[in-house]
Amino acid sequence: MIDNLIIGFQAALSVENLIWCFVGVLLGTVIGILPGLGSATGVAILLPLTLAFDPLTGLIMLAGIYHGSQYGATITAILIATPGEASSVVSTLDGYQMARNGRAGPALAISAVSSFASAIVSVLLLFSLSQVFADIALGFGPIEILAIMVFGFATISVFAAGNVLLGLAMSTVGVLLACVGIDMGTGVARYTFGSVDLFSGIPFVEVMIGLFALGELLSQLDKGAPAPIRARFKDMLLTKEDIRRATPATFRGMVIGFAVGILPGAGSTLASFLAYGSEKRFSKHRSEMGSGAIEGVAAPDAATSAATNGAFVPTLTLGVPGGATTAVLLGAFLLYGITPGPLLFEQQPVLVWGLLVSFLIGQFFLLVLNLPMAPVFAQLLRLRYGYLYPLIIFTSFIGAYAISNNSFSLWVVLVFGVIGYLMKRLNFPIAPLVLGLVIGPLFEKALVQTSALTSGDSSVILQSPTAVVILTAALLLLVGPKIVALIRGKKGASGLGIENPETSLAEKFAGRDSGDTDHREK
Amino acid sequence: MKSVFRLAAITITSGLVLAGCSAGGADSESDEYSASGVNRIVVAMAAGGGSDRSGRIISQILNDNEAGYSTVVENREGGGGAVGWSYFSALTGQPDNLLVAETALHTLPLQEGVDVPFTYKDFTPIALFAEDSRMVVAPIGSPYNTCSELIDAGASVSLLSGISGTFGPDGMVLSSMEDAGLVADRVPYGSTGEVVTGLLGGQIDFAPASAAAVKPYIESGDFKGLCTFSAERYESDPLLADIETAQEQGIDATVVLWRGVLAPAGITDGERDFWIDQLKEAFTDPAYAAYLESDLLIPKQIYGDEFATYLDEYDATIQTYFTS
Repeated sequence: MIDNLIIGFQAALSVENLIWCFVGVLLGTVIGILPGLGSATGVAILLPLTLAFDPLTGLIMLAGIYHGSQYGATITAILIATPGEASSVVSTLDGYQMARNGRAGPALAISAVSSFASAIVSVLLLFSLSQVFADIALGFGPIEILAIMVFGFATISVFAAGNVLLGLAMSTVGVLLACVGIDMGTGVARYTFGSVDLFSGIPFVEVMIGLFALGELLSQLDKGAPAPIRARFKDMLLTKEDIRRATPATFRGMVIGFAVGILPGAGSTLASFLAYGSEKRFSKHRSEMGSGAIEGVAAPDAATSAATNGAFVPTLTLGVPGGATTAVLLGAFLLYGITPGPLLFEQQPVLVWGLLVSFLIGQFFLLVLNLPMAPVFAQLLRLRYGYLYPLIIFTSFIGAYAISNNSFSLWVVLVFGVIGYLMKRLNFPIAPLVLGLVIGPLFEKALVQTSALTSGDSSVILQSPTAVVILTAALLLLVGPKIVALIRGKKGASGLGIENPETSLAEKFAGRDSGDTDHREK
Repeated sequence: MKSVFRLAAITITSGLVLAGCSAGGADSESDEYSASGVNRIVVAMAAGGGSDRSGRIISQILNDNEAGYSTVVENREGGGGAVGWSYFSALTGQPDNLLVAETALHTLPLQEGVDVPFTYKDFTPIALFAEDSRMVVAPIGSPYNTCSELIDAGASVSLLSGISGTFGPDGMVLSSMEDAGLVADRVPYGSTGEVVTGLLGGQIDFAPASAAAVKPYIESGDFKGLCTFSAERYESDPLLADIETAQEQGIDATVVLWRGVLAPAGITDGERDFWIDQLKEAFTDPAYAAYLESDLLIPKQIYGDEFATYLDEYDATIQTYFTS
């Protein structure tokens, strides 16, 4: 490992590479901030420009964009509830609340610090054990992936903001929306109504821009512009208490993120949702989650960051993409004349180790860029909304158009903007809808593959120990806290997100029989 | 009253931006790409994929020739090519646009519910620049060493094949093998990368894939090639030269895929001949030969009317794979 580090540093530490690494993370941050322009699109758009570079330099810059966009995406998620990337959707839940409470500075800072810490650890894991993790990831076939997707659905109750049925309904809508398009297995076009634009489905990023950026904007204008928030400079800095609370959350997020990241195709969005879900279950301050708990920012951001690096495990060791952005990066390898595959580490040691070392360097750049800037960005909230909204509209539509050069995207943004507004107005939770959109296609694919693998025999799921463990965990996630609460005999399962009408009624009766009423009669 | 103002403001802002974007889309043919000589090479697939790669190499060679014009690659992906091709088929009579297309142009309209406003006849064939085929591979530890062994085994054992694209080359290979008696369940995957993962993880027994996609895994000793559906073996590649063709193994089938350059319908003969000459020259460039070699493509160049006849015959053959 030390030899490899030395090879890597020798390759990465040239003035040219350092400059382009910096340009990459800076561009990435900007791309992340712009709604719509996500890392996959950003890398794809800038890929042709890097073809004139030395392959290592080009890849360093593209990877910088990938890493930087994760930082940038959170900034707007926290400040104006407009995630720049799908993986930052969960950061809006607590991050935006923190900003509303005048704590935008600490929210931004903890996001940067958690991302950084998690990235450094996961890059070191990539360095030392990527082959081991690749073998583990290969053990996850369709059956195990199916179990993970079920686990993902089990976290919906967490995001349902108290009303599980509504949450389930919203996630079903998400799954149904994800059904539109040409079906992978049979090649049949579903719910496309003859529109060519719908063949590849309702475009996810455009939906996100609509629901969040435009939806939030409409609802702000409807409520009357929010008062500018004037926070004292003291409140802009992280306190010891913040760091103490965020540390375990960051660690949990990192573990979840890296685990999900190494699985081919699962991606950082799922990782961030699962990390938030687990915080809501296991954090000491879970009751504060949703109203501005720092754990709600630290955990998902750590997970996204670790998943971003985890996705490089299958990419570099096996030559198969770990997510959408790494798929584009694999294309970049080919354009540079390098064939990615299982022999990449052997055939291109300088390139691989140099690239990995550049991840570390890029993360330092990002921390240096983002940490001091946190209070500065937070000042944005002092602006009157009247100055902000044209900017948001502008970047939303330009971003959506840039993705596919297609004005169909603009209509999607507009339609989902109105839907997003109505959902906010009616107090429908948006996060479960996004979760449904993300998990729906992955779940369907795993289900179709499992069914094909086993000729439709679903009992095989129970023959995979990994799948059984994951499914059990999913079940515990759903009913576990309720059972614990019942055993402890506490009334009302607050903060669990599950209200089973029958049990709560039973509890109420139990409470009346044994408790207060008798006393009062005496 | 105030909210009326707000609504008006937001409508105007949105309207302006929307108008800006749509205008940008419509104007791009006339204003941006004028006689100054910037020509578009449209790729209906995502950046970084196989089509994109060929488009960029052709663009680069044309630009390096400095013949008084330049080219830029534009990706219009979506719907397995449907979005880009529909867009391109509407550019009738505009010779400053070229399209890099491939076999899926024939197979896309065969899919159920996929009503596209074009067929392969709605384009002007310029040049075919390469053919490709498919190879059948299995994990190195597989008990089967040839495609004919797979067919024999399928009768008694249940076999699982990976497939990416029912109506694509993978489907053509499996359909040919089924005609020869193969019995195997198809496990659908979203991309060749996913199929490779399935093979590495041992979830499937075998799968068809392009020679270029599987070569790194044959080289690393993870996969072995069972047969190739090309007309001849990959003689020039020492690693793949030993892999027999399906025909050698008694399976009477080949799978041929084409890659070519098309122009919009309705351009003049002079415009067509101009591009034919330009590409003829481009394909003498060493960069083109290097591209064919590294991507294990089968060299073949035909132009104009000859290419048009080729496409007619190809379309007739393709129907036989999927209309049974």
